[in-house]
Amino acid sequence: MSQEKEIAERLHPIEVNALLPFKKNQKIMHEDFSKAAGLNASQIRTAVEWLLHKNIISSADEGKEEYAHITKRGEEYAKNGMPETRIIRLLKEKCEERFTMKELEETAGMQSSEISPVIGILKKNGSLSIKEGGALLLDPSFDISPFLSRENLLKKIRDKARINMNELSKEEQEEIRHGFVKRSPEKGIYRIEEVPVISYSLTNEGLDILPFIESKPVVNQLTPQLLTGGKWRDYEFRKYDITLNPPRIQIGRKHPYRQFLDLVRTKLVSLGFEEMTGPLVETEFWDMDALFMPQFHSARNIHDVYYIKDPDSAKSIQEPFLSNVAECHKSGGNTGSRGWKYNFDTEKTKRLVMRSQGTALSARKLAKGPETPGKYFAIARCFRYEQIDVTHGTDFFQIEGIVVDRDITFKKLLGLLALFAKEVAKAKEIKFAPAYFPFTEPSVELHAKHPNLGWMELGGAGIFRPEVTIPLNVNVPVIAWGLGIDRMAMVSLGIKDIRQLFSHDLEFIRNSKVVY
Amino acid sequence: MPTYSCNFNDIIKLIGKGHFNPDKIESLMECAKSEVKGYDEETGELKLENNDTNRPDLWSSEGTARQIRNCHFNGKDSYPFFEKKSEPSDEIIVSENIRGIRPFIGGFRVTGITVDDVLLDQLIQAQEKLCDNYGRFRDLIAIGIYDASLIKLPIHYKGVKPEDIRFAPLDFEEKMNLREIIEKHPKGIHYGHLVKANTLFPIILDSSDRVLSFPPVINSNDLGCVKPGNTHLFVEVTGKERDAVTLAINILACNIHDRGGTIHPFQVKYNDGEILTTPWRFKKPLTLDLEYAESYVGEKINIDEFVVNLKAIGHEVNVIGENNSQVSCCPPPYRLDCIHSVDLIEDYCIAKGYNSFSPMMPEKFTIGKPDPLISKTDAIRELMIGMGFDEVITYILTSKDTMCLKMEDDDKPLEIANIMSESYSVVRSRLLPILLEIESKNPRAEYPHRIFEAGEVAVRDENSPERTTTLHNIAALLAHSNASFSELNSHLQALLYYLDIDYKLDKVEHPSFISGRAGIILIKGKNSGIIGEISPKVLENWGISCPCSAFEITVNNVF
Repeated sequence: MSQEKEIAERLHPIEVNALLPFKKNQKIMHEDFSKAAGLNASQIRTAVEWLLHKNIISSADEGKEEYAHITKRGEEYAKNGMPETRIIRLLKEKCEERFTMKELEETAGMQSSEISPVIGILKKNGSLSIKEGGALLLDPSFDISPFLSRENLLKKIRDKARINMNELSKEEQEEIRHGFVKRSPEKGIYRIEEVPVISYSLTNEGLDILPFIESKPVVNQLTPQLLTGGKWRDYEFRKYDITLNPPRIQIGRKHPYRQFLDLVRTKLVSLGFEEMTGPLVETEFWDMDALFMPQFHSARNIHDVYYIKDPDSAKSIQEPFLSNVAECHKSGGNTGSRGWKYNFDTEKTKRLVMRSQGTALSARKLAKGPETPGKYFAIARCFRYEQIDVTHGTDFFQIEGIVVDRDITFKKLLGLLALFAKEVAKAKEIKFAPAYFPFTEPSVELHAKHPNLGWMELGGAGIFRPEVTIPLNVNVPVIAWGLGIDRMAMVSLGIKDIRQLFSHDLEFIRNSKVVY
Repeated sequence: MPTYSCNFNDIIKLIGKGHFNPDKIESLMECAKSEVKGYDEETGELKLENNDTNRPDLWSSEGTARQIRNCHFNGKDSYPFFEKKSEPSDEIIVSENIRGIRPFIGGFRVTGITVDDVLLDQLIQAQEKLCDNYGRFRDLIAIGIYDASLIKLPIHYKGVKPEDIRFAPLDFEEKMNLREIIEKHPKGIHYGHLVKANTLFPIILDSSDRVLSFPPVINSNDLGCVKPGNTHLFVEVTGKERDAVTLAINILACNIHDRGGTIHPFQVKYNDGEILTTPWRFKKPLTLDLEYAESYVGEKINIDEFVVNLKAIGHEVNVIGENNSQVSCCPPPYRLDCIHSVDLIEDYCIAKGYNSFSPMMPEKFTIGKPDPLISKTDAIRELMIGMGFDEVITYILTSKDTMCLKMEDDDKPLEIANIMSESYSVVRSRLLPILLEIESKNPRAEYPHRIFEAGEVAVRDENSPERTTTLHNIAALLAHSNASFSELNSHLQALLYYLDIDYKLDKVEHPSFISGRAGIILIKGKNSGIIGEISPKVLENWGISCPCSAFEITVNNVF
């Protein structure tokens, strides 16, 4: 695109409309510009200013012209009539009244200083005589019309605000010059203004641009009026500079972390997992005892789990699970295990804690009787007694679940983890490492290689110990798995501080990008 | 989880085989379930965290090196001292009066080694980890280590009245009786609660009646102070459970043996005539069917390969049963975590290497489905976003100040008994106060503010077995210079219209809202939430200088 074309296309509609008359005329007078361009006075003023600034048009001085205005007094006369006309009218129309000077002053409501010069003139040319008693008599054949036409001129100029002297007749021009008192404008009734005459013509640049200007008038906006009856055909539309950056609008957004969690959730549902939910405030029984964590386990003290103050305990724990689990801890029960061999405290099982692991939901599901085969998951808020820092929050999400089937094996456990790595974390390279969870054996950690961050732990899993499943009346093997979702979300959202996942900063939420 | 530190060169020396650089150590550590948390190139110090809370043997350089040696370098445990007889004077005589207090003890002597800084550091670390992490801060077990050359054998272990005996505790010159120790000595103050309730306190004496230790509180300053250069040590463990005491003895003996020390076992003579030699090899064989192992792992297993792998990590294994279809397995003496045959299966998998198994994809068909209540919350979330609201996600634990005081509300949310910080001392019972907290922090964000949260809250509920219930709530807040009840009510109206739910508002006086501008949201005649203009007093409490309207609905009650 040539530079001229580009400039032409970026012109504002009022600029284009101001340039259109130059298609027919080389020179346009300032006076005619508004009409020729079809713009109002302020539009043409703006257009001229812009075009001059862009050096598309230039202006030239064409001498001066005279304009007639009326003064303040002229305005008053135009409104109330000129003093001589008013006096003559009174004397002519009410001659039977036989006004004296004094009576005339009162009737006309005028000062004697205004009346006297008029009377003087009339007396001088013999139209007025003074009779006895001071009565003023006007010659009945006195012609008032020259006075009326002077008043009409005054009104004509008042109505137009100003008139170019060239547009007026010789007589009118003389009348104006006669009534124009140059030195003391207050006294006269006319004012003559000298105005420079300006013409506009295209510069060389303007001449280059002109061919690129459509001959139709340009509009900014398509309106319903233009659409009605096809009037839009008579117009061109201004071409926009579409490279300008628009301001971003505020929209309602799903929280970026929620969006990530939803992606994982949708993925798990599509892989055949059914969602579980459960209470935030959990008993030690479901949170730990049912998961074969001995009551003396190091993760069960007041430095690891949040305890509820009041109420501090549940009413009861469901049987036969309580008895089964108690026996299993003590002696292994019927699970083939030796158990932990200690005095199991059934009161401690009722103690209320903030759920410390999502596996509590899996334990509840096992007790409720899961389907075989069955796959379950939960996105569970969990709580740990930890100092809050860059990698630890007081509460966090865990994605956990179980897979129940007769033919669950260690190799299928590895297969499930490989599936998660591929489908959920989109990892290409993975490895397995031994892990420890009190409730699974064998226990596995899943590691995946991140293109930039190297090896990272994605989650852990294992086959539930018989000490977990059998007391809950599940007699098939069960895989328990969990994914380190906070860590994955941080990588996915590109944040380094886990606290940002729960940020109170609206700007952070509004500015964060969508994950997909 | 136990954290411990090791010296890189020391670990290599202990493994004794293979050369590798520090990068490799990370993957070698996997078989010991330890993670490298830090490495100092200058000093060679490795900071490690062990994930197995049931394997105290791994919480030391020696134990970690042993596991790596066995899994990766065909190491073979050899601890001949378990078969050795004790020498006549190597005895601990246990008095009857300690039975109900802290009944068990074990010990051994060490010769053939000179204590240096590395050994001393590792001994102290092993002692601490065993006593704190495994021994529940000395309640279950406590350990003492002594310069054996100062001790006159045999050893006596008994209960004494706290005022009847005086000695200078470690780091003190002054002699004190046992009562004074638990009141004045820093360790006494710390561990005194473990013995305080008894009339007799435990004491370990030598044959000259000199005090070795007042377990589990403090050693004597005279005998219980081991220094670099010592060549003859005595180690004892006391505790409440026999197996725990024996395990700690075994671990310490194996660790010192791995450094070249010669272990001399002790006979422990209990008052009832029982005599136990320590260290002592547990005799608790587990039986495992090969067929069970095959069905558990998911592939055919060659019995010889099975045996070789279990032996490699320290188990004593014998093939038994018809057609050699079973193994009888005694775990190594430094382990007590094998309580079910599945534990052996994991050991087999670890010894063989997890990554040597080919994963099998689960193939059974199951129907996936989201939870119905969460799906409904999702539908509400979509509508809120459509109305231009930004979603926030916040912590469930919050402060009483946020939940009640600033809201002028006398609601009684569930409180945490063991709070770490006031900021997280109650469980949120509603979401609305947290939205105001967010509003108070964002006066600079472009207005209008339309925010919402969909999340769980917990409330008291005497009808539930847990006396508490978790509810799924949704709360929305509107803040701008003209924010009003009627504007937000229009949002509520739209929300419930699209959910096809009829609602009515019932005027309510609530201290968080302006009087006459708040209502209970009634759905099917049931109280399902609240809506209103936030009272200026509450806004003032929060330092919010912009009118706010808000509503909160309990999703459980809506459908």
